[in-house]
Amino acid sequence: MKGAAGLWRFLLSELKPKGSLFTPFNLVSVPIMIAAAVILYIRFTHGLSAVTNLSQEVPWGLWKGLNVVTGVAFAGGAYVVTFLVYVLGQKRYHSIVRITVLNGFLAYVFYAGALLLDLGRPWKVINPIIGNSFGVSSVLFLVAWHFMLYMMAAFVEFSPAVAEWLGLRRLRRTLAALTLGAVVFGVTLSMLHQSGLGALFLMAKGKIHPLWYSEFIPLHFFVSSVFAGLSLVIFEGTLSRRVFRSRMSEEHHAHHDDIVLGLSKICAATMFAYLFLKVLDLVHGQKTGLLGTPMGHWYLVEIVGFVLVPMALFTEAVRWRSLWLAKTGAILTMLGIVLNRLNVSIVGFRWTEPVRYVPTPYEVVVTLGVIFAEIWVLRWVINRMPVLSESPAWVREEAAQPAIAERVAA
Amino acid sequence: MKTIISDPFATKGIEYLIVLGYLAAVPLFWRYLNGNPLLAPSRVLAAQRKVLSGWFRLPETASYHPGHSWASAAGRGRFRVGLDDFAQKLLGRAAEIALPDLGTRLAKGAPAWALNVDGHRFELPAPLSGRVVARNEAVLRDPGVLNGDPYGAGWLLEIEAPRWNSGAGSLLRGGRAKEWLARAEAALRLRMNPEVGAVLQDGGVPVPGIARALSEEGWDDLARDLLTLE
Amino acid sequence: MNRRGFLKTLGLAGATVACPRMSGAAEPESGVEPYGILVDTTLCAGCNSCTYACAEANGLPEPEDPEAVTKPTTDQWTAVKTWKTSKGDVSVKRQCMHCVSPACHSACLTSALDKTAEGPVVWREDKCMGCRFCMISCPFDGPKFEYSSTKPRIRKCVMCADRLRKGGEPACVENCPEGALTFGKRGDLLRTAHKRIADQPDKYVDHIYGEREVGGTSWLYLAGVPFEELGFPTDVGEKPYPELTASFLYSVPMVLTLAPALMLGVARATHRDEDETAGEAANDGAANGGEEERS
Repeated sequence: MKGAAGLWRFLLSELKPKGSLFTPFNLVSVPIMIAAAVILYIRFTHGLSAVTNLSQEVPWGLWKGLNVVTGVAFAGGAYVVTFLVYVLGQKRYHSIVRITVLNGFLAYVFYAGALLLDLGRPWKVINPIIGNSFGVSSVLFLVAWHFMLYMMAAFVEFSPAVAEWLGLRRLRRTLAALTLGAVVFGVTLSMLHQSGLGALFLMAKGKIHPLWYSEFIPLHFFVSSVFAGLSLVIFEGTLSRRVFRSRMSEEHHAHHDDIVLGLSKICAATMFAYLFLKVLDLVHGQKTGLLGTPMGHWYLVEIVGFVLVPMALFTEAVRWRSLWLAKTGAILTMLGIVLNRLNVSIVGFRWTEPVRYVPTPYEVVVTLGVIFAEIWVLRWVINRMPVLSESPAWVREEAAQPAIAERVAA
Repeated sequence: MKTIISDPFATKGIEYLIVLGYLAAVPLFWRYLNGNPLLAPSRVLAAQRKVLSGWFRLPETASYHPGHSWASAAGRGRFRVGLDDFAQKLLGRAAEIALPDLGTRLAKGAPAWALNVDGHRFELPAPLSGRVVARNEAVLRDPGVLNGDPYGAGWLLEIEAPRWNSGAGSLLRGGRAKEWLARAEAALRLRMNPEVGAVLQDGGVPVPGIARALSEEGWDDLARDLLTLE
Repeated sequence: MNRRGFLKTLGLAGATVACPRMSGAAEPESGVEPYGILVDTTLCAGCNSCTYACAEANGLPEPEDPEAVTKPTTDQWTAVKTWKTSKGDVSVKRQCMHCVSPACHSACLTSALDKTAEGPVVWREDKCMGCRFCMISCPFDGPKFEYSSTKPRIRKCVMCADRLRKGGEPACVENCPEGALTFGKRGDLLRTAHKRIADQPDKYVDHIYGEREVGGTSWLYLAGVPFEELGFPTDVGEKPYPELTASFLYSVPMVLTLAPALMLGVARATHRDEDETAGEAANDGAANGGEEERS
């Protein structure tokens, strides 16, 4: 174990960038992140109206609607994959657990964290946490607490990788033992806050277009978070395969196809159920007549073009073992989720107002800046910690030891 | 726009119908998703099935070991043994075949011979226990003979097996052999892609062997997996 | 089974279940019946005296052109709008409705919006974090937010809660020259309103807006024309808004209790399957070896 000074030097050295600084991604993301920082400075020194188009009629805009509501939906991959591996015992997905959990953890930190940027008085966010005032009948209270608890659970799930990076053996063993508990806790929390994000809009009855408003919004949000998260995992998998090729372990490469197709199958089945839920919702709310209106057409674009079509793509991808079809399906699904969440929170919100909410360019820049910042941190971690690459040898040695002990005893 | 639902159960009947329809649709969708179409079998899938079943030869004159080797009685306690059609098509033409020396005692299921294919060494198990009394020199000189006629000219060894203890009794025959091959084919079908399927359908064999044609990278692992080797 | 995870779950589930009633419905404490205000739009002259009185009582800037302001704003907590209706011009004073079971109060995760026993829904600055969830939830656009401030506040009519506590009346009621505004206990006001309708059925539409809408509001309205013509949302229903989220929130403790138990059970089951298969394979290997020796 390195001494404190040694640890500090190690951490500092890890801050140095690996690889070229002038990749296309860097050249695009850095100016945007700098611009976002400037805009945020203005936002905090001059108030929200200086940089956003929020109004008394439309209090929630792009930052809440896209960063928080949509971003968290995409982080759903973490709870689904950990559920598959640790609860259902599907070892096939084991090699992607770490990257998915890392992504989920960072997504919550950055996107649920983006919530703070949108608060009028962010320093008061401590109130519902330390108990200055608990509004227990508020869905947002539940969502906020679950975000925090989930971040902790996700971090515990990911921490063995950090321990491996720092070479802390005993810590790693302790943390690995906590994994199942953290996973169970994390999945439970996820079920509740994914649906909770939907429940936030329950009291906006009358303000959200009836095709998107339903008493079942929480269920719809939860079910769609399953395939939202998995689509991102599929899509990101194809990206990391190219970008982080050198860091990926043999195990990862070999099982990649099986993983993508297995996840595609789960997406297809979930989307099948989701479509029926939507049909049921239309009938139950007696809304089928609305499908002929312009908003109805837009609803059909979302459901048919961005749920039904990618579901068919995923189905064919599984049957033909085609990675290309799976990737296309994943991209369309992700667009569909963005569309759905924005339709509920912005497009379908107060749809009869003469002056509609349109985000300012500043809001867009900050949204992008937050996303890029998350990707930067993701990249930093992947390039240093055993996320895609194999764990250090001492981990495997330790794992082998208990097996030997059993055999000796038997 | 007012939607007044005076009767809270107005749509209950239709909803039940929808749910029933959904429940009926689920198994159909599931079968379709898993490539087992109940409604309209896809052309390629049907072609693949036709191509694969009955395409790997399984002569009734031999008995089979799950390690993809065959044995057939050659009289006076001797058995002629070799590699089956599935394995030779999967691996393709070997650069070299290594056979045990005369007099070597083989154990059923233990590695008996090895194929060197494109730098990868595949050790394959013997179908029964016994003593090697003959080796096929033709195959040693030209491994392609194995691929050309795995059950005839491509035989590998002759083994003198003891009356009991050889394990010949428990080899797969007839219906059980067909079932076993069907399972191997199913495992292969899961990995099949349309290009290779088309080649097989035309009566050809991918030149480098099926495994390599399916997956250039890691094909040896794929082959080992399909041959259920360690 | 991981002890720590299990205990964490139990603890959280237990705490949630043990939490006090979550409906947020404001049942008056014993002995304090909530107040309300009856607005008779047939008597309103559109003079805006209420607007000026409200500004003075609450320390707001004096309204410059109240006739141009048709909806309450951050600095003008009530507004009178004149509507062109089937029966001529009707002026309607609008502000926060101080619902009996307020959506904003149940939405507020910091309890910054508080439903007082006397009736008014007040905003407490020390607690608010400016998330604006109250604005999303309110069917009447009550709370207004100071977007241009670095320490933004939620601004809305507070029904002069201070004056009420001292036994007085809201400033607007006190200053209405036409007597269109009546202050009193909500029950009494409803009786008065019903009486007015009964005495002059041709003058009034037979409906008191706010009697049952969203479970009842403290501000009650009488009108001579249908309320749709006066800009009132008529499709809000009679269910208090907090009940829209009640079933979701009440399912939370169930999920927190059942889901971990089920998942740990499944995890145990799949893990045991693996152990058994591994054990079987080992045993089979041994047995097969033995058999081969024998046969």
